Amino acid sequence: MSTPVFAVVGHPNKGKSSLVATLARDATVGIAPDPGTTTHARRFPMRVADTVLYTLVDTPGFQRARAALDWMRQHEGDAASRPAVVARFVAEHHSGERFRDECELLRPILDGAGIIYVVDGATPYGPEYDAEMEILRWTGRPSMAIINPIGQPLHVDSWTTALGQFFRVVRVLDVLQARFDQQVELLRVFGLLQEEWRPSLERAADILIDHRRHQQEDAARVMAEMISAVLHHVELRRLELGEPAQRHAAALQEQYQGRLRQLEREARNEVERIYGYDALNRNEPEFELLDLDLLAEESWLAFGLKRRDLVAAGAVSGAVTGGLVDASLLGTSFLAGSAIGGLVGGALGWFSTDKLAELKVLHQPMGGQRLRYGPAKSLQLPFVLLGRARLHHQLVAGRTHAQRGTLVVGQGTAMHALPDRVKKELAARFQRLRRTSPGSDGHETALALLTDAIADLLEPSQPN
Amino acid sequence: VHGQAHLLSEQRNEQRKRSLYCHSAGGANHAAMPRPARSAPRLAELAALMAAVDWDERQSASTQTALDREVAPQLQASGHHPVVAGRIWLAAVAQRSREVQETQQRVDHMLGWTQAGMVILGLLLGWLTTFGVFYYDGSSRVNVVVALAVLVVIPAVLLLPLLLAALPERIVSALPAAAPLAAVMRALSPGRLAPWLLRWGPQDWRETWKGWQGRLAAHRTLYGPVQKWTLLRWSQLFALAYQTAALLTVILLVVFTDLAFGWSTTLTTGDPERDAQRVHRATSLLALPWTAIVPDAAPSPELITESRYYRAAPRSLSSAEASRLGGWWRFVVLALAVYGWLPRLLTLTLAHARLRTSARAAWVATPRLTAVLRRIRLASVQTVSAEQEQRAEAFTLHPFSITNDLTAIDAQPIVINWSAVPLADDVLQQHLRPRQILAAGGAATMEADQAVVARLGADRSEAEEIVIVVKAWEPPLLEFVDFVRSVRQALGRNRSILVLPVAVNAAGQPQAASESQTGVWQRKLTQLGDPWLRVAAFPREAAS
Repeated sequence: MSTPVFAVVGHPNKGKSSLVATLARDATVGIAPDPGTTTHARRFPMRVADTVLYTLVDTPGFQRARAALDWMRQHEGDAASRPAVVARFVAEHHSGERFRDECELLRPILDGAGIIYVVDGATPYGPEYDAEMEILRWTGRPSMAIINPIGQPLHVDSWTTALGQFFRVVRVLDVLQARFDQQVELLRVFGLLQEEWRPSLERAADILIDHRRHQQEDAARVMAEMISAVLHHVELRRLELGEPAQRHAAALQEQYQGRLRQLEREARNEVERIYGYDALNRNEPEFELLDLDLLAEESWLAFGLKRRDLVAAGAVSGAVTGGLVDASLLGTSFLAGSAIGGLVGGALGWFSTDKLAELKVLHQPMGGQRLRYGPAKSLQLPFVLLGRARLHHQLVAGRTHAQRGTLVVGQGTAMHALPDRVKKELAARFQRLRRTSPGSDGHETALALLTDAIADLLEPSQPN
Repeated sequence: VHGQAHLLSEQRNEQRKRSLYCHSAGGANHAAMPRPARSAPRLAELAALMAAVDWDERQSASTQTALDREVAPQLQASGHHPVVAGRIWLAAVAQRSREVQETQQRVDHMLGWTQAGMVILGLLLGWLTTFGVFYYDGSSRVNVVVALAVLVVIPAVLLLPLLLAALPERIVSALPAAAPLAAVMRALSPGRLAPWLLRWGPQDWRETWKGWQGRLAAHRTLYGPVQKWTLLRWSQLFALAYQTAALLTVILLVVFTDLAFGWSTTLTTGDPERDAQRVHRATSLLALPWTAIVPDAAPSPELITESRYYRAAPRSLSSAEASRLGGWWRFVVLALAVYGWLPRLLTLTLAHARLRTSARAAWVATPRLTAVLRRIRLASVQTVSAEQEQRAEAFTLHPFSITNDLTAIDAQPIVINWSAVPLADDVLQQHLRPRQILAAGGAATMEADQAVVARLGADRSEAEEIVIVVKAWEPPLLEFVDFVRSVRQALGRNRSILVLPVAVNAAGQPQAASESQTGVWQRKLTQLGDPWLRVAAFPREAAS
């Protein structure tokens, strides 16, 4: 069975390239208001592993349809020979400049492609379309028409009537705004053009649905990772001995907030990449931290020791030493040695902490004071992050590759509409994420749980 | 929540398994290929993976895409298992990057060398220590207490850091003093000998080692457990070698020399009988694990009483006595095996298993690997074109303004309605006051167009200007450009041609074309380079 190929043809500037960009999810397709932007047929195969399920071909628009039809009529024999006349037309003119666009768009059709004829339902039908539709009819290939209203769909009815005379299947689809389910549905319609194409197109549609689910899950994972990174982020700055903390407070807060925003931006880019947008211009208000009281001054010691550890270690070694004294007195001291040793050792540990902080080994300080900003404590923060990420995802997933403007993400967090049950469950998962440290098995489980919860929220059927 | 989430995850996993996406075309083709193992990644692979991720980051998008497309089918066949998928990707990267390939080889060699070194050191130390402890020249006896203390008790105490390390971090941090103790023990671990051993390795090994350690340090939170368990596995390997050497040395000494065992201690009750009973209780307790199988291997009370000796009252042994005192050997050998060797075998197995687990966890959590695998998985379904878009060269417009003053039009132009603009003749009459209205394009034949052109050529009237009314919403086609060229040819130079893109409302009245529509016409027609050809916007006043 040959792989189904569909040539997207029509008048210039009626959305052929937009249709291809949308269905092929390819932002590299040139879309411009000037006619003749597409100069060569370009193939967009849908590959799954190493198998091609179908191919879309973007073609230049008809430029001299009347003259081409004129030539064909002059060379016409009977109705049965019309496809051969079209083939002869292409054979005779393909090397010339005059009918380059016509040859380029007719060639895939002559090679066996189905015809997808695209018109604009926002502008009226005119007689200049007749010649091109007639040529397409002459090819004898299975065909359908898509009315793509670029603006107000004022003329859809007149188009439906006109196209009905040339095409068996006519569909209306705003290709710039086409939802994912509409795109998949359209693919299934393509499969109806010829019986043997149907299995391939059905399979392609199923795979795309599956692929979409994976994209949602991947996006959910990226969001969960971003939330985790934000919740655990801490900015540290060492203080010189006697240096006032307030000197660095503002800078540290800015640094902290800057890093959080960067984490969010990176996650946004990754989600866009998942949906096949590599260089999307995005306009999104930066998020504001809700709790700004995250500054703390603390002592630090080498090896991650804490004062508590030193006291305990001191106490234990003191007690052991004391215990040896007790043992040598055959217990007559009633463990006084252990008790005294433990107390003295603990006290030494307590007082040595500061001394240790001032100590330098191989020019490396063994401790000191530092400022810590973070981690964020606000219970609202993960909800805000998720709300923003979800809104962005909704826009990215709902966008088509034919849209070329800036992605404008609004301010709304859209989380309040969620049922209480879902909010509670999310809150529990956020807490779990906070409690586990990154890199641990527990954290991985917490991430997986949150990813699942977010993936459910990304389903288009969920309330916004 | 946890249970529900697991159920959800399982449902998703089930869906994944059933999914067409994972078992789609290509699976059969790759079924014959050797499938990389799911086993935990080796450290060398982990090191290579880190290098591969760095390599990937340095590549251009096109190189990444080419690699992704190549790897995607195999990944699908693998069912996207993170370790298998990572291995497949790593193998593909290693084919392209010498650095990644060499990293893996060097780390592999390095680790092999280190392990061999640790084993040799352990064997040497075990042999030397045992030889020292069991030194017997016939003048004195081998003190069982010392032998057990050195070969069993001390190593058993040294198990503590391992146990501390094996505890989850949460518990260690909660136990007072456990963290510094663990840090000190780690600092004293024989595993620390490994870097020292590497000093004797070739220069490139040392560099690879440094680079790897640098990467580990940079992501300490993720790779901390790997580092810890690598170190602990080395120390357990060392310890097992030590215990093996001890055990073998004792057995060899027993086989090839005569040993007379005895016991001696200062901690005494003063009553030899009670002392012997105490020792017997202790030895019986120690021998519990094996008395059922080897009853002889527990020293009898008589042997214990007989084998006590005092350094203060040395006496030489008769040959019969010496032979009886040798009866301790079974106990000593089995104690070494059960309390020295076996625990180390277990701890080595534990360290090995934990290293594998942590290596697997680190593999999965390797920064950017998830993103790379995600990228490849998404690349397994491709809808975009592999061909470059060929675009028409953009035309830069010469800056000239669009006329919107219809008074600039001649009094009585000839108007051509191109392609049936839906404006009635009387409307055109009202707005443009033409001398004549002709029709071309659209449903008209090419001959009809030629006839219009011929008529314009023949017309030598006063009407200087030709106004072509076109649909503003349609783009200018080459067909129209051809027509304008023919008109120009027929008219000759100097006569003005005005193209008037016009919009039409539902009532059939002319509307001003949008700027972008007029711009499209203007850009196209400017390309003709005809100085007497203008594009005019339909004035808004006229439209109203």
